[in-house]
Amino acid sequence: MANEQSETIRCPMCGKPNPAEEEVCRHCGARLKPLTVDAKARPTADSYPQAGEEIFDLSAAAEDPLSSLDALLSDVPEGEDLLLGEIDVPLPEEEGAPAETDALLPEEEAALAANALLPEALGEAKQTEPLPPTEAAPWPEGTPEEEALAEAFADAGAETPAAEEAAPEAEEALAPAELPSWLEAMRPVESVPEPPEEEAETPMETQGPLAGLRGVLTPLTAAMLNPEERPWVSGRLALSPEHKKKIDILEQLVRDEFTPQALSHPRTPGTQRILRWLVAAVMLLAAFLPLVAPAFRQAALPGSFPAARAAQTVVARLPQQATVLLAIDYSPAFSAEMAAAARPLLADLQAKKAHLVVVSTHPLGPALADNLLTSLPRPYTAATTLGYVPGGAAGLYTFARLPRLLFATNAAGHPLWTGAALARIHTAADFDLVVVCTDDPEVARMWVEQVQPLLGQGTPLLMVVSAQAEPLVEPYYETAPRQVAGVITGLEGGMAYAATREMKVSAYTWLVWNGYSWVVLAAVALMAAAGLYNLLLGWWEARRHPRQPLLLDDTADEA
Amino acid sequence: MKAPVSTAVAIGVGGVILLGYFLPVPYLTNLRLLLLQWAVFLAAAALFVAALNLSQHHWVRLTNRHEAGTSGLLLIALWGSFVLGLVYPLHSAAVRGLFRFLILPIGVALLGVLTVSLIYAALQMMRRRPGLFSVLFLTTAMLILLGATALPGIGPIPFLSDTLRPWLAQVPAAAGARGILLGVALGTVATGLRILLGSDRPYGE
Repeated sequence: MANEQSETIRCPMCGKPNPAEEEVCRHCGARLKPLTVDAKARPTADSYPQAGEEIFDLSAAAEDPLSSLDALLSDVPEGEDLLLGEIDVPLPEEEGAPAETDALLPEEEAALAANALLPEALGEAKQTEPLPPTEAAPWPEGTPEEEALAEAFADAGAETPAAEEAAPEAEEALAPAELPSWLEAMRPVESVPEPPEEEAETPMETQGPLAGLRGVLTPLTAAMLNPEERPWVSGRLALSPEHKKKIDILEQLVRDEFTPQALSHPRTPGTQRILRWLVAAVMLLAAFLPLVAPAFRQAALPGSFPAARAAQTVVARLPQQATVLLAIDYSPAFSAEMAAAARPLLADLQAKKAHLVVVSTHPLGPALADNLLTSLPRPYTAATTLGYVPGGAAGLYTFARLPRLLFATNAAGHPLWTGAALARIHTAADFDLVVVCTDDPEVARMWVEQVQPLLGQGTPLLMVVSAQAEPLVEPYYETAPRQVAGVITGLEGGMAYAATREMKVSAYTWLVWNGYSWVVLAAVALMAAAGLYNLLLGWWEARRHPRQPLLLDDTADEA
Repeated sequence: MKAPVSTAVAIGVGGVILLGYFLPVPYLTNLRLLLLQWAVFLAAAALFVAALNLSQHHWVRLTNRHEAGTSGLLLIALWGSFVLGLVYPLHSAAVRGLFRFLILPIGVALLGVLTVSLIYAALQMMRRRPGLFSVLFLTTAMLILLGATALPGIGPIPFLSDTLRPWLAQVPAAAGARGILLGVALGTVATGLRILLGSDRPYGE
């Protein structure tokens, strides 16, 4: 077995065993043995053209390669083959050689390109142009290191002084160099020499970069084409338990990404829950205190509200039996505050026998309006509910321009615009007054921006808003000219409106006002007490546990 | 381009609506109003589609037995109210009872809970986040509340009710709110331009 291994060599390209005497691989055609060139057979400096000798005219070849080639071939003796291996390969430039050989002129480059086009006929081409004289620099003699260096040069194929000295003897024995098989195979297919008999049956590539090579690609056989005869290879991965564990973790991670996680509700400490219940109890006690104890009822009215007084002035100028557009645009949660704010105004309108046309941009607005109008001391019956206006700002604008288009009939299918109060209404500007009740500053802004410009001078716009919307609505009242003719803000605004008109405030309103005042006082007292307590507590803890200063150097550390 | 037809429709309609605001051409105005009318009807239909979508969501939860009780109750309330509104008119006792004894108390109760929660948060503020801004915030809130009421036996607090509170509400608070509104307006203009130029197509999602 060892003997068999010693007699075979493995191809460095395909790795398959080959007999030791083979020079190229039987399987892939790669060279098995390195090419060696006899140093004595290498060309020397003397083999180069000397001064005055004729060399091949490269510039002429570049201009007309075919004619130059014919001229070369005419110089070749008949019956003598031109071999590519006999080309004199120029050696590396020697020290002291003229610089012209280093930097090629463009013409020379073109000539070399044309030279590359010429096949093996260039082997023994006569040189027609003299080259400048070259003189080899003397090679120093002496130390063994220098001699070893010279040998290394010789092995590498470079010209050395020793080789130069041996050139006259070697010139006679100049042998054609062997080309690598792959380079030989690059020649046109027609020029590939006939293979030996043992390789004749090996298929040869006829096209592509492998053209001319034999045995490079293995042809497909019938067995290879038959799927049933192919060797079976398992596609399953050999997984270790460790791999499986990691895969399980990854799958779990991906699965968790798409699984909704329940929010964690941290358990509230008992003291905080007690505090919450305590706050709620204080608020409820304050709200119901005036109800159960007459001593806690007060008769003081809220402060002055100029905007509410302006609203009252607008209503006072209304003619009898006016047609008023009432927009109910608040949510049910604010119904108590909004009703308290709007009731005095509605009572005033009721006294003037105004006809209300109710509309809303809130889906629950019609129901809220019905609740508001029927909760008055005298239910407001002179009212027509149009319904819900969808579409936000676009809907409002369309309604202000064409109210009859959006609301042609009521829910029962009866025509809406037939009565005396509604027959003259074609746009929002035909109303005598527009009142918007809202808790949302955005809705108030929408009415001011989309509807108010269409109203004109004869139709003022009033706002009844909750206290939270006041800061954004009041500036529309403060502008000159006023975009909003008057504003009634929350419970205190309604009270102020009633006080301005010297109207009798209902007992229910007084009760709500008293409860509201006590709740506000309780809330302020709680906030002040808790804030002060927490401030003092923080100050006390800071005194007990003062923060340590940052220790930045060793001295401070020691201190 | 994604959704070229929708983009062309959106740009065309937006351009007509915008031009109608600036050019007093009767034909353009009528066209603008017609398009706005369509938009109103579409918005109403969208509300109904939203209700259907909500119902479908809760129906899936009901059939999957994921919080089925809550979803079932919501479905019954939703479609029960819908049928009630279709059968009975707005001023009927059934609809009024539904509103007064169900919708209104729930909304008011939620606001009451919010009130207690806000006061509780104010109590905890100085413990959780003590600092100058917390003191400023709490002080402002207390001044506004006190200025909006009347003390028993005293009435409105002088200077606080007629000067300080209106100033706080109309100058610093309104200034901050107006600044936010200006930002919203600029954002709206930018979004409108993006839609008109076709670079933003939210309808194609």
